[in-house]
Amino acid sequence: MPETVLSVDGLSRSFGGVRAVDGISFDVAEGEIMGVIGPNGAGKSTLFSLIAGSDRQDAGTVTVLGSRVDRFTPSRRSRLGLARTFQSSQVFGDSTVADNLAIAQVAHRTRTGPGRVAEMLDLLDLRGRENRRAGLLPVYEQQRLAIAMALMSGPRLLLLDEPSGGLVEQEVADLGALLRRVNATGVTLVVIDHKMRLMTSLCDRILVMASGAPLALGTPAEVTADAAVRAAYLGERGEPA
Amino acid sequence: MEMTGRVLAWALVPLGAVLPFVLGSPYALQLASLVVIYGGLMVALNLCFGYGGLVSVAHGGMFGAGAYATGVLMTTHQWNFWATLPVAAVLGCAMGGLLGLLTLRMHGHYFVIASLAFGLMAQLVLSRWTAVTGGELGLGPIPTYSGLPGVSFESPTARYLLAFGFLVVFCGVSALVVRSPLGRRLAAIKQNGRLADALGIDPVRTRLAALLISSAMAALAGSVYAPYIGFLDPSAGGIDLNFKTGLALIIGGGGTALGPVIGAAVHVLLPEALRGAQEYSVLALGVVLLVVIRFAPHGVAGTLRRLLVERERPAPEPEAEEEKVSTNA
Repeated sequence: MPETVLSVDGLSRSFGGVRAVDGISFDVAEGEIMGVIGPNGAGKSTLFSLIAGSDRQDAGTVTVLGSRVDRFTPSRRSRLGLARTFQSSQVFGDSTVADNLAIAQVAHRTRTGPGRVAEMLDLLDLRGRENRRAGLLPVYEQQRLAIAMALMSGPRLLLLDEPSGGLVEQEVADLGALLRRVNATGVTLVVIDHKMRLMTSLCDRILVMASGAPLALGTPAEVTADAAVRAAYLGERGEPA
Repeated sequence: MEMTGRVLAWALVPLGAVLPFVLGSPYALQLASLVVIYGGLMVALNLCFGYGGLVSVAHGGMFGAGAYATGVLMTTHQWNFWATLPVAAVLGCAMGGLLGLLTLRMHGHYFVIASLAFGLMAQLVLSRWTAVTGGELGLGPIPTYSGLPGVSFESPTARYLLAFGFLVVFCGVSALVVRSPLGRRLAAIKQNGRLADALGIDPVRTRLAALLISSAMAALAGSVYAPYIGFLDPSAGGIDLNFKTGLALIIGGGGTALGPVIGAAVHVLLPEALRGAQEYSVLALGVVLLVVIRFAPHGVAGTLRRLLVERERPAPEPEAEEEKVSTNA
């Protein structure tokens, strides 16, 4: 039976009177690709922040690879094997692609060997871009660089916050294939995104959130067929772009 | 460009070494000596402020603590100058460690205010601990630098060369730190703290390490200052020094190799240029700062570096430009 890589139990977070995340629970098994969807303001990014440690929950627990990480800083969670990317890809814009990868590597004090940079350049199709300034790269290349940086430390779990943001249709399709390649290297993925075509084709299971609370959890077929999900999220239009 | 900057910076070493032999007057040599001594403090501050983004208003206090440690040990306890250096370095480290542990979880302006309080406390200790520091009456006369086998530091030229040697060592240590994994982590935090943290770079530990090194260097620069000047009063580690050196570093260019030296020259030479109108020296520093911020927002050295980068950067490849248009559309 695959190991549970991430376990979220009763996670809640309020801002003033607004419950941004309200009692979310789920487990993610090793090798799985888990999706999180929901309308804007559903609490998806707050959920990621709580899992990654950049925000602190009011209630509930987060367990990564068997360790309770509720009180760990983001860097400590990262050293445990949890990596993340941000909404609107974040890179060190003033540095070159190679320097970005080198920074990501020194963050972990040589957990990965010298060949790791070359491996990531190949995996994320960034060959030939090594000496480009990261801030001047096209959006999709910045996104791939952000993923490459997150993978430099050899994480077991990668959280991706809207990786398809700002991409054109062909790039979204390419991104799906790329994420499957990443997953095939043994990295478990949890992905937030709005593009339903990407999410239903990529994810093994999908958690649907609405107003901070869980609305449905199941396979893509199950959640897209769920009446509550269709009413709250998909609406009459069926599949959003 | 990095290489060009480094070559340019190190090319100044022989120039600095021959400076006392080309300067015409003892007065000019004295000013040059003060520039290289304060240059040491600026290099220390630059590591923290320029490269690490930690706006410290406490380094003057560490400089003063180092100066007083050396001054008291040489004057009251007749220690050899060289034997006082480890004491000053440890004292600087302890102060930096305490400041870091108390404040490094704070961000931005909060750290500045906390370090200001720390700087004020350092000044209070220097002025109120009269039994050791002499208080407002000061401490002195402090003997000049102890000699080394076959080398005497009695002459002004020798004293300048000693202080210059320390500056070169400080620059070397700073360059090593900046190029080390610690320096890369520090730069990453400065560029994007949230991303660096998510990548596994512990901001508190990284900044604490930089603060320890930088504080020890600031205290050692103070150690070099005490025997040179021969007399100390609390202004040697006063809050005034913190602000003036901070402003001078901004003018020189934080986060660059040459910025601290240019800043030290501004710090020493600007008041000298206004001799007879000392009360206007801070005003003049403010005016220079405003002019620099308006026309060279990255400081003198930072702006020169940017100009060189623009000149050296190759024209963008057409393919890349097309991609950018298509994907951002």
